[in-house]
Amino acid sequence: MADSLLRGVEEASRSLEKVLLGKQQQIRLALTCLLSQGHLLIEDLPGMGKTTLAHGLARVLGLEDQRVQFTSDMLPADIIGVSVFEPSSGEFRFHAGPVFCQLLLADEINRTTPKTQSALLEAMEEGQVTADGHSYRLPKPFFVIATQNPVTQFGTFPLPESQLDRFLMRISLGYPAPEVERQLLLGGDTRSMLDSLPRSLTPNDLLDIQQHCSQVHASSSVIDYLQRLIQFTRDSELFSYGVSPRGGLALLRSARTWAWLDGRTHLVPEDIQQVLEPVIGHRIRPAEEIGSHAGKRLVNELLAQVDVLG
Amino acid sequence: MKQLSRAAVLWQLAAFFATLAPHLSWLPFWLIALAIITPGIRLMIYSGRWPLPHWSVKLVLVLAVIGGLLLTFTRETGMAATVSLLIAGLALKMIEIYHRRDALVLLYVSLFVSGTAFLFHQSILMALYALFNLVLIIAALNSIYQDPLRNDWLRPLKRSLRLLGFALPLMLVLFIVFPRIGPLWSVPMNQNAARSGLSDQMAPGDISRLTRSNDLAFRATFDGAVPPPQQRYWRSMVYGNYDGRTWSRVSRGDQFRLADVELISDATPLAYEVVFEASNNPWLVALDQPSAAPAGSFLTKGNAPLRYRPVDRRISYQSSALLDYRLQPDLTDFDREIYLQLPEGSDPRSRELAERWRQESGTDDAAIVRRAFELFNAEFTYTLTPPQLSGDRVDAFLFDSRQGFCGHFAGALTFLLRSAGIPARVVAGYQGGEWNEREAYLTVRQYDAHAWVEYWQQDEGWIRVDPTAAVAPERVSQQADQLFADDPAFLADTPMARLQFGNAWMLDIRRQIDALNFSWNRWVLNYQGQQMQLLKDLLGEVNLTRLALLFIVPFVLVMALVAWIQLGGRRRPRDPLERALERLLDGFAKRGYRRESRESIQAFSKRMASDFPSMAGELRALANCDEAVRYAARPDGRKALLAAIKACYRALKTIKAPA
Amino acid sequence: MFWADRKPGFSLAQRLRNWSVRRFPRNRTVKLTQKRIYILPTGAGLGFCVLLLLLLLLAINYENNLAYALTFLLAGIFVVSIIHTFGNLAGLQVSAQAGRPCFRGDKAGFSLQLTAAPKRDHEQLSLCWEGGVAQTLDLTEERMLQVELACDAAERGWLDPGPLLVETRFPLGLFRAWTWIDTGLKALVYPRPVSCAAPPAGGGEGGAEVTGIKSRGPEDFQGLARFEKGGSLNQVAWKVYARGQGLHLKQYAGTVSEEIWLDWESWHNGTVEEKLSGICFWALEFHQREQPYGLRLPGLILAPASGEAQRQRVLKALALYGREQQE
Repeated sequence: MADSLLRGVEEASRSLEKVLLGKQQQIRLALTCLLSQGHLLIEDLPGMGKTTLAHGLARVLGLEDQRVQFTSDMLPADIIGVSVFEPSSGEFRFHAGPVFCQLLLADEINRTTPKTQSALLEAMEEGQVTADGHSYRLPKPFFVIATQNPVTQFGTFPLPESQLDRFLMRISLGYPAPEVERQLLLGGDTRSMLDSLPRSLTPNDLLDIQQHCSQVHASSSVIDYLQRLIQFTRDSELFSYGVSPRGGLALLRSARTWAWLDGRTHLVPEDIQQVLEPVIGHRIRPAEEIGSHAGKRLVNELLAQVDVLG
Repeated sequence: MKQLSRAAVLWQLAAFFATLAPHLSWLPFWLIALAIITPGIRLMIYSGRWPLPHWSVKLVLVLAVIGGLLLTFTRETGMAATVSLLIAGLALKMIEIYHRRDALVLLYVSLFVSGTAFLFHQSILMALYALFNLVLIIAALNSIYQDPLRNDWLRPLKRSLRLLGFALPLMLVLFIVFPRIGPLWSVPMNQNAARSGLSDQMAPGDISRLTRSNDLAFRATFDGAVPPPQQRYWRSMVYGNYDGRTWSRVSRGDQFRLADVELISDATPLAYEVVFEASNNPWLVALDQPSAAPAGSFLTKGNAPLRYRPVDRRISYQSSALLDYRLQPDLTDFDREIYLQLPEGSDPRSRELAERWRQESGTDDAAIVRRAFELFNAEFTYTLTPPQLSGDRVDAFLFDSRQGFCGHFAGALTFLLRSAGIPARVVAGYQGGEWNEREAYLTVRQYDAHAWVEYWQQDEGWIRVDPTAAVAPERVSQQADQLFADDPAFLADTPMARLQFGNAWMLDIRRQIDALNFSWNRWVLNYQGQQMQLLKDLLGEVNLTRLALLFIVPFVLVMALVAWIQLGGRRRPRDPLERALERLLDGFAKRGYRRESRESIQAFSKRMASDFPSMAGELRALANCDEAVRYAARPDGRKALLAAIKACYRALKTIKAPA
Repeated sequence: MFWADRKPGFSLAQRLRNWSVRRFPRNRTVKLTQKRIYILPTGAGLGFCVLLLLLLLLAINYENNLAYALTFLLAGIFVVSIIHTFGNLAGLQVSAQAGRPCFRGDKAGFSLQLTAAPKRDHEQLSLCWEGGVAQTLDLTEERMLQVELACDAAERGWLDPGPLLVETRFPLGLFRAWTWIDTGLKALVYPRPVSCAAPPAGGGEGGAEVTGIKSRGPEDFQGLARFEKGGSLNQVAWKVYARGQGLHLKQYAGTVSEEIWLDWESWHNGTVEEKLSGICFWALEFHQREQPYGLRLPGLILAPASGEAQRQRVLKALALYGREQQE
């Protein structure tokens, strides 16, 4: 059972690699994030393949997806839906917004106002939306893949810390390697291949996989290591604030999934190290402005300072 | 002000009671009651049942205690009063132990009081008890510096033992080397502890009390062969005066006019050492005849050692004896007058007898002595319970009762000899003693007290004769305990003592204990007597440099050991796996390959496998085993992991470290 | 600076401290070695010496060798306890981690991490800043301990708590072993927020009221709500009604339309500190309302923004206003 699931994930991963050349690591992280029941934030410049990745994921995981392009004039109702009065029946009827799907691709989430952002993020956290005093449950599974432009871009509303925390991971795709770029230029647009990607998993499989992942054994040595890492972010003066307890749990959850994807039934420190930057990169803040890629540098410092063996 | 924790308060209680215990035997009853009541009050306050006492209550208590002390120790100002005052203070302090400072005062005073306990008892058991007491006090001291939230009882005890364990060797070094000087000022000694031995006068009848006591008088060790029982006459006093009832020492005024002692001998002196029990009297003992006075004493004109101060504690001294001698070959007229002195008109029958003997024997003084011995031998009985004598006592003894002990015989013989015109005197001291073969020392007890006679002959000097030997020769050749074993009067005062003579193994045990006590007395309680000799034995020659070395070298060694143990960390049993792994990683580090913090054993092994292809197999095994144990919840793999680490280390050792 | 403002110490103890602090370079992590540790008898230790002397007199005067032995044993304990006290401090590792900012008049927390020497216990360590309240702790079962040591923040700006005093009297209180560590820790002391009733209007260019009046802008339209009695007819969504969907009111977001500026120039009355206190109060107020706000100080402009980062930026700027030159 577990083997067939694992094969399904591997197949999905291979399919995605065909449309997103040379992004094996990011694809794996994205899969880890979704398989851990977490929302994903992709941060990169426009045109790097963010949307392709999101669409591809929806496709191979067999999820019903919706895409919303966020703009500055967008209202919460545009996402959640509105209650509309129907003269025929004389009653209000709730018109569900795009959020009612299994995978919501929120493009350029930081282009909209904080009000609209928080409406979406509430849906992410609670798994339900509220309109006109009524609560409406979202489908299960429900994922959000949000993309955002680097904060330094003009005309953006950066997500507040409290809302960043709701994303399990933040990844960026980055420029392709030169040989991949060449292949890209020669091979033409891969986007057209999106629709032909096979469905490798069903939504039910995802729930099963989550079940398996939660059973990955975390020995006390690994937990100790994890705890030392978190503690370091809280104590060290490199950080202006450290990882929250929720961040710690997120780290453990992601590492477990990563280990499962590796075919293991126990955690090793490498699992934590692999998911560390995507999981805590957006949850920590350097004490002093140290320029771009602060997250990566901090995480490297963190790994260098905290001994695996304790 | 730091409050005391619960554990600390209870430790104070334990230390207090432990300190009190050795003094219970002599403390006044009301003080003991006070010392039990005040901690009780403290506990009642502690548990919140009673309020804190008002200052007036405390004042009344203090006044009551001072009044009690003044009443109990009306005239004495000795150590007993001082210690009582301290204990009373401790007991009162118990009521108000709240803060660290209170506890400090209590514990410091307790330390001093536990030191004063040695003035009352000095046995081995007492010393062991004091050590135990010290462990408690130091633990109590530590407990007040412990974390108040930590209610760990054993922790202060462990710390205390650790401190004491290392302090003991330091104590030993100090004990051996520290110079013993005489008292800086004279201190009144507690009278309770002293026991009288001989008395400076002898009225026949008095000495019987002594014979019944098996208290230790002194012990002696000899530098050569032990003298035979017949020669073990330990002279202590010479009685030259007789007033018709009591034999006593020559008066102080006459002492000065007596001639100086003249001792002539070709014999080699027999050196010996005496450990003398406290007697509160100034006289010591010396084996016939002492050639020089022991330190701190002088020889009287009767050639008996007399100390400048009373023996108020156990002392030891060295002396030497000449077993073959001539004492005072010439006698001055004054001496002759003194040693012929008799009370006017007393004991006519005895004088008559002496004069008859003189007429029958002519000038042969020895014949007169022989006649006396024959008389004693034929018609006299040796007993420890003679009848009371009155009136002309010598007559009564010689002609009526005809039974008595050494005092009677010695007194009567001296009387007879003087009546016959022969200078004579009574010598008091001890005779005999029990020889301990194992430890080679002689034990002399109070029941060995004895009196004998010296009479003077021209050119031969004073000659020792023992009239008791004529009546009961065993008294001289045997030990008193064997001699009187059947006499109910012997040791009547000490029923337990009789048991000791019951059977052989009891006797053996008693001897062993005795031997232990002797070593204790000699090497610990009277160490000042041994110090010079011991230092000479240890150093060869005692000078300041060597003395300093003897002190410094062991001191530094002990301190280094303490530092090593204390700073090197506790020897916690370390995980052999961790140790082996550490060694392996050190091995790699020496070759320039250091594991980075972020690298797990697996990652590190992988990196090393590419740098050391020759040991890739071992490294892979190591990575797998480590993962199994550390991360995969398979603790049964520990053995395999240890083997893998060791295999790796062996493989690594074949690779040379870079220079 | 707080520390530097003090007069240099002239007492022997202060001079010794200054010297010992200067001996070692400032370091984040310090391992206590014998070079750093000073040890001297305490008052209780001197009392113990007096006790030893009394016992020795007792031993000498009564020629009592057991009393001698007791005296020497106690002397041995005295000497051995030097090493115990020293060992209780030696090997301890003190890492200065961070100073937590606070408002003037509060206590700034400094976090330190203590790591025990391998296989050794450290008991009853007492840590304090110069003149501060000591914190006593044990390092036995735990090998590592986080300590938050507070220091009074009397002045705005960077707070330097001075050298850290680490001392212990364990196990018998006869000796005190101590060391001073220059941790180099600093904490920001923000101005004390003091509420002022009516904050002046912000900034020269188009200053809107900062109290948060809702002004309507097209982008703030949030949605429709069913009409209730008393609703303003101006807000009725007539277009919706025209479609036959009933009466609805247009809802607007509660954000201000224009940027809020906390401007130094517009704070007229009060001393520098009072002005800063006022600005600080309002900065916190806007932060709580999650409204973007900007700061204008002479020589410094922070663009309006919201969130934790903005709060920290603004407070730091306020804390260091007029102080930077003294660095």
